[in-house]
Amino acid sequence: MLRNYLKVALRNILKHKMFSLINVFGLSVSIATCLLIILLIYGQKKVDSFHKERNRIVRVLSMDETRSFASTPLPLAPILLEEYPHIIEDAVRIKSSFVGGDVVYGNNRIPLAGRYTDDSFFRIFSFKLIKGDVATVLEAPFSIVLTKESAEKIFGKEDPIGKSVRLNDIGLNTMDIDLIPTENTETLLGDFVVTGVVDNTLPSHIQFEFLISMSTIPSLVKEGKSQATFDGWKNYFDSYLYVLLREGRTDKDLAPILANISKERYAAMEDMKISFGSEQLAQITPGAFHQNPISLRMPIEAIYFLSFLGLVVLFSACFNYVNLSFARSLTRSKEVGVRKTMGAARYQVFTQFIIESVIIALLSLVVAIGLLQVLSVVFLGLWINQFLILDLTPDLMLFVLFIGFSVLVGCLAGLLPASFLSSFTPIKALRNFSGISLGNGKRFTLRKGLVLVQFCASLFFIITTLLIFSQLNYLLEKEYGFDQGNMVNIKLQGIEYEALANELRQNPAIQTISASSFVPGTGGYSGSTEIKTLQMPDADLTSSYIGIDQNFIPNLKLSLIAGNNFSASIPKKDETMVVVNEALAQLLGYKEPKSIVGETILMGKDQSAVQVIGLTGNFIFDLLTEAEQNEPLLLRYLPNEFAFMNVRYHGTSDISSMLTFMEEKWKKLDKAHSFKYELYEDELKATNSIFTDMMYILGFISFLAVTIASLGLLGMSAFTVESKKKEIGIRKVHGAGVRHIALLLSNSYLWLFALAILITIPITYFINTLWLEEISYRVNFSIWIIAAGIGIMFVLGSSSVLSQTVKAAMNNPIKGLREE
Amino acid sequence: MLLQLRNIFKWVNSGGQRLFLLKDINLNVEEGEFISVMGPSGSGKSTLLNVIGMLDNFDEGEYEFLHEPVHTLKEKHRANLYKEYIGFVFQSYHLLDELTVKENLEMPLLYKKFKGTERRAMVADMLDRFNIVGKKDLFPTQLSGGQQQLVGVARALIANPKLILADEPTGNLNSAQSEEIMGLFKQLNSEGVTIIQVTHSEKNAAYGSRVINLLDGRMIK
Ligand SMILES: Nc1ncnc2c1ncn2[C@@H]1O[C@H](COP(=O)(O)OP(=O)(O)O)[C@@H](O)[C@H]1O
Ligand SMILES: [Mg+2]
Repeated sequence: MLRNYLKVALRNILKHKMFSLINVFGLSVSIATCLLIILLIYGQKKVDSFHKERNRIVRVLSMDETRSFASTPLPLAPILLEEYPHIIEDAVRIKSSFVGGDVVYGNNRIPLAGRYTDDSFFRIFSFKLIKGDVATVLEAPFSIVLTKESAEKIFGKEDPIGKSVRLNDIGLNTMDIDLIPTENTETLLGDFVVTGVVDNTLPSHIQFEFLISMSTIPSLVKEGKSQATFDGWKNYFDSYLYVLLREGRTDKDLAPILANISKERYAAMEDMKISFGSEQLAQITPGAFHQNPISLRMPIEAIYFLSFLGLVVLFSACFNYVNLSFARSLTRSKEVGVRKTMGAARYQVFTQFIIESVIIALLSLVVAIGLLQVLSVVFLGLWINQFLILDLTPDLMLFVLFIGFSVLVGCLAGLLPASFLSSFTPIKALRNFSGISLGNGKRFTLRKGLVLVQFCASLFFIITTLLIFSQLNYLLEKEYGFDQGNMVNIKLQGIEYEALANELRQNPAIQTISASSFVPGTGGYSGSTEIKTLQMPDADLTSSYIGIDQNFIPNLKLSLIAGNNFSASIPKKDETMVVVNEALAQLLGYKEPKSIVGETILMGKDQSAVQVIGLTGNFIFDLLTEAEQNEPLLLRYLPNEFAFMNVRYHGTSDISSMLTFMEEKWKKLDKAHSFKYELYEDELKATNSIFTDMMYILGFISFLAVTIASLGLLGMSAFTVESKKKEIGIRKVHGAGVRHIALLLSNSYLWLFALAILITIPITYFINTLWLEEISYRVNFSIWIIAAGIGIMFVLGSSSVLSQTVKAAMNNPIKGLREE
Repeated sequence: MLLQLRNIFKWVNSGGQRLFLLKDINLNVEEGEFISVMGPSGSGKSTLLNVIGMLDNFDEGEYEFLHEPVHTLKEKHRANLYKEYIGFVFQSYHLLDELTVKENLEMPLLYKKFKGTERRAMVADMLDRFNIVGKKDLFPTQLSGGQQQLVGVARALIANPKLILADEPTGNLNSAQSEEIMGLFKQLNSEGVTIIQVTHSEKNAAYGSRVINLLDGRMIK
């Protein structure tokens, strides 16, 4: 029986080529999109699934009034362990502040980043310890556990156990992102004994290149090399806490305990409204975003968002299947009639049609798996994904999932048509075959409804894509207020600034050099500080600041409106002078900003008085996507905070040879760190990458939505034309023109399209305004964007419909009549 | 007695009026009969055949098939009854275009839960009997009308029905093809199969043992 169904299904697929092609195309592209998302979710689900105790491991979170933090205060762990042993079996802290720097062994200096953690680490987590004793590796102070990879880098083939390495902390970032400037200082932490080697290749949200025993910290504190306090509750940014619950306990048992502790500790503090929450290990990836994350992961909202997009195109493709199946039910009704007179029961006919749609879905799966190869490469190439640890390698289980998914899609698409077609009574089906038309009434409304939904979705996505496109263009062309052309920014990474500058000046291609604490517009961290004037001592105002040298203002070609720049002879310590921007002058109440020059203002917590010596125009120094209009800024001379060198070169110079020169000089001065630089113009462009990503993703989805909808229209009109051949013939014989007939056949779609516009435009406007208003520097959501979206959809849709209807209208009428 | 219709009425409501499709039909059919139903177009011949074939309902009267009161049976039971005992032959053959001759013959057997080996034997037997072994792998569109109807008859016959209902089986055929089909019916009848056919042709009616005339849904003598 099954074989018979399969045979008939395949023959039908081959026979109705247009039907099959439209459906296989739509389903394969949408299934491919969904497979990518399944792959993504599957990869995320695998993260941390290797821990044996994963069901009992819970991470504790800190919560203030509005946000949640992944980190918690250091003293929380001992309290939990001591006072609630009946619920908490074990706990491990991972200190969040970075221990990053050079691991030195003999002549080998390898920059690595690691973390401090308690000795319970390997008892709670199942990271595989290749060498060393689980019970003791992280017990003694100054113990270090290396990952296999790190061990190979440092020791090559030598056995690292028992060997001693020297750690030089320069605050290397464990998250492998450079948004936060590395500190300019270097701390020699001391000599550490390698006690273990760990294999951390299995995916985990806890990333490290080495681990150091938490017991090291008290010694470091004594030596003044660490400010960590083990009894302070105010700092909840410094450490992550994972607890192992006792067998049979859940986070429900944990909640009241955490509530008690936070009440006890924070009730007395007026300015701290902290409470604690928790989440299961499995909820972390994929999971909700928390501030101060231990590693960057795809937030679950992104997965929801992508899944939503995937489902939209999937449903659109299914709608095509439903619609086209209804449209051609006439051609299948004879078959149903015959089968039923020959004794087929309804469920048998139903099964047959479901099998047919499942086969179409499986066929689409084959195509989709091919498409997936391309799609996943393109997806991984998106800017955002360089920060995420994504594993898209498929395994056998995934293929089972894929097949299951496709069968489900097939059933979904085939459900309505199959139940409709199998409901025909034999006599009706056979009589219909000879004239009375099917698919009127309720089903006709359903079909129109589905087309309407497709129209709406297509319109929404086209307009949104166009909007993002114009926003991106706006951002790319926005003037920052300084000149980013012909500049390179070099990360200092603790190097001696003057020494490097002197070396670089030897190259004639290099024009001017300056230094700063962060690079304006690149998303680097700008410090903020309190400011006041003598006239308004009670004001509660803050301003961002940037640390710069004397050359910074001319080098970036900032406009100095009044007063002076810092002079060359300015003392390196004891800040007494400051340059401000117009917004700051206005913030401090100077209606005429120029008049602030020469005034004294109070700065910082200790309200030190500084003199304003210069006034610059406003320029954008935050990320363009996050910046507010006219933000106040202090430009301070802070040589200790220099983290970047800004190099302006002659526009005519050969950039690559200049960069080679720079790298050579860098290597001469710093053997350990690699030369890190960005071309300023490119770096600023890249800050808009999130919009580029969004544009690619939504552009792709719109393309699919529109193509699928257009193909659906094409198929539908082909069937309409087919079933109205006779009517068209009769009308033409009686003198109807091509235009009249084409319009007659396309009319209903026109109305649907108009309705779709009425429904979609307000929704599109509303939803897009939500995110657009979050951005200060934004385009107008103009009527032209909407009009362009409608235009594109109209052209594509109407050409699909007209290609069929016009052809039919132009046919010789006799042909239509004769074939009846 | 194979079947018995007593005072069968069938109507549709149209514009507030009852439009009678069948009026007071009384008919006894013995096993082994060969009946021809005749009458002008629209007189209710197909309707009558569909009622007998249990594909269509009637509104009044009683219908017994092999002593089972059809009018009281549930849909499913009725379907089982016609599945087992009745074969249908249509004017426009109604072979499935996607299936080969062999598969078309096999199709009714699939729904009657015959095993694979049984099915193959029965199909082979039919192909043999109708002399169409050479055409078994062709699709209906590759056959002439007469050959298609031959397959149609073979398909109706394959599960050994007691009754064959044929609605204008030769309506689309030329006279030579018609004669072949009629000859076949005659032969089947002589082998014990009961046949009720609708026909417009006196010549075809002559093959049968009895003629029923319909006019406006009423049997006339
Ligand atoms: N379900 C129905 N609804 C309305 N009219 C019907 C229906 N079935 C049959 N008829 C009408 O009943 C009459 C008899 O039809 P039919 O039995 O097909 O006639 P015949 O086969 O003798 O040509 C025709 O006029 C036909 O239009
Ligand atoms: Mg008829």
